[in-house]
Amino acid sequence: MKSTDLATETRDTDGQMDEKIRQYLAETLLIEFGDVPGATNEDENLFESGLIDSFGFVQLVSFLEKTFDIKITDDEVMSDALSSFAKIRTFVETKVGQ
Amino acid sequence: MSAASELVLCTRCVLPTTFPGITFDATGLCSMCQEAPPAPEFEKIRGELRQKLEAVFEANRGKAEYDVVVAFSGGKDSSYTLMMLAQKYGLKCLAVTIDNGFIAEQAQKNLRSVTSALGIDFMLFTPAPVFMNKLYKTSATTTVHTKAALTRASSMCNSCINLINNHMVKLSIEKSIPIIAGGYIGGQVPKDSVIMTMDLDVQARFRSEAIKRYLRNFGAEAESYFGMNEEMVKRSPLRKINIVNPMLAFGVSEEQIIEEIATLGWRKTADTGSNSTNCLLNDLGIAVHFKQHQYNPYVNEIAEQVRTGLMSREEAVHKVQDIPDFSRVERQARAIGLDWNEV
Repeated sequence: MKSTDLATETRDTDGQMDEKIRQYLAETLLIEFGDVPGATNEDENLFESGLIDSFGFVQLVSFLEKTFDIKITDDEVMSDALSSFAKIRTFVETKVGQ
Repeated sequence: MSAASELVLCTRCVLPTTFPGITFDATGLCSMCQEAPPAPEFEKIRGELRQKLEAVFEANRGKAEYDVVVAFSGGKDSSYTLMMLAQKYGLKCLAVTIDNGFIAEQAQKNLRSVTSALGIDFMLFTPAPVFMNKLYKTSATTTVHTKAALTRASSMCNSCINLINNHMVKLSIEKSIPIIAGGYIGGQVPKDSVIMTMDLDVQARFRSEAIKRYLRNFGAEAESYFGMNEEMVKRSPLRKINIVNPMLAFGVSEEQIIEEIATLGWRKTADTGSNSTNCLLNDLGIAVHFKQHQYNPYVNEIAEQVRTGLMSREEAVHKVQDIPDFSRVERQARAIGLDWNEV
């Protein structure tokens, strides 16, 4: 089983959340961050850069909801809250903490 | 560039080591197979998906002139999808085909035979050939799609699929048809796309980004094919569209599909290569993709068929290693004005 599919039974630390999101983006959407050749900047807008399309976004929202047991509203989907890796991480940390 | 037969393939499915985003264990098993359940368990999963599909059909039946608009290429999978939706589920279907200028002669006959045998309405839309040729040529020579999208289909196919999808959404809105059905099989679309709900307001943000990309790559004419009349969207009583890909829930082999649709007068094409049953351009898309990425763009769906027990590994190996050389696709390349050296 992928670590990204694991239900979050106990609350992840911020570092674990970061790793799960990072791993999902690398394995499923093939977007890599960090110290690898051709890596994407963590603040880069994933839509404007053409790194994520509507299919990818639907998958990402579904992954975040299942993995971190959160509900993402339509308003949040329509906002810029999930437009970069840094914003996704902040968004998840805030939602899980609520 | 390696020949397809030289690639190291997963020992269960047929994903090669050149396929992005996967790893292999010491026994040669790819990470997707390591995570996948045994083949028999997929039937249980498909059964649950069929129940969810039936619930969507029941909730939307009889609400508009048509229950469902079906993206119908005339190939085996969309023909089977149409047959199931019309015959088994009794849905009122509108079959819609986009003529990309490269539909094989037999496939054109199949469009008529299948819709006629099923007694359903059929629409054909032919985008300007000059635009379609530009779309294919640009897709073969430029980065248009995300890396993830390219693991599911060639760049040329992705561009065509997106044009088709946009046309289906337009028709769905125009006619308030609550369901759009595609004939995509496992590996061609994300795993959780057997039923997806498209919120038209939420999608507006993606449309604006996507249209910028298409205008940049394909020119101003792209607006007609990838754009959306936002006023029409706002006025539509439809706020959400159900996008369904029933083949992900059916679990039938290629042989079974061909046997069943033969009863509708469907016949296999002889000139569309080993991975298509309708498009004369398909082999060119495969050849271009292999040259650029060193794996067959059909390998993801073929591997999924093997993993779920719908295709033998032996047959799959044969299919993924069938990469056309340039001499086999030279005529198609010339038709879209593509120089092989530009790829």
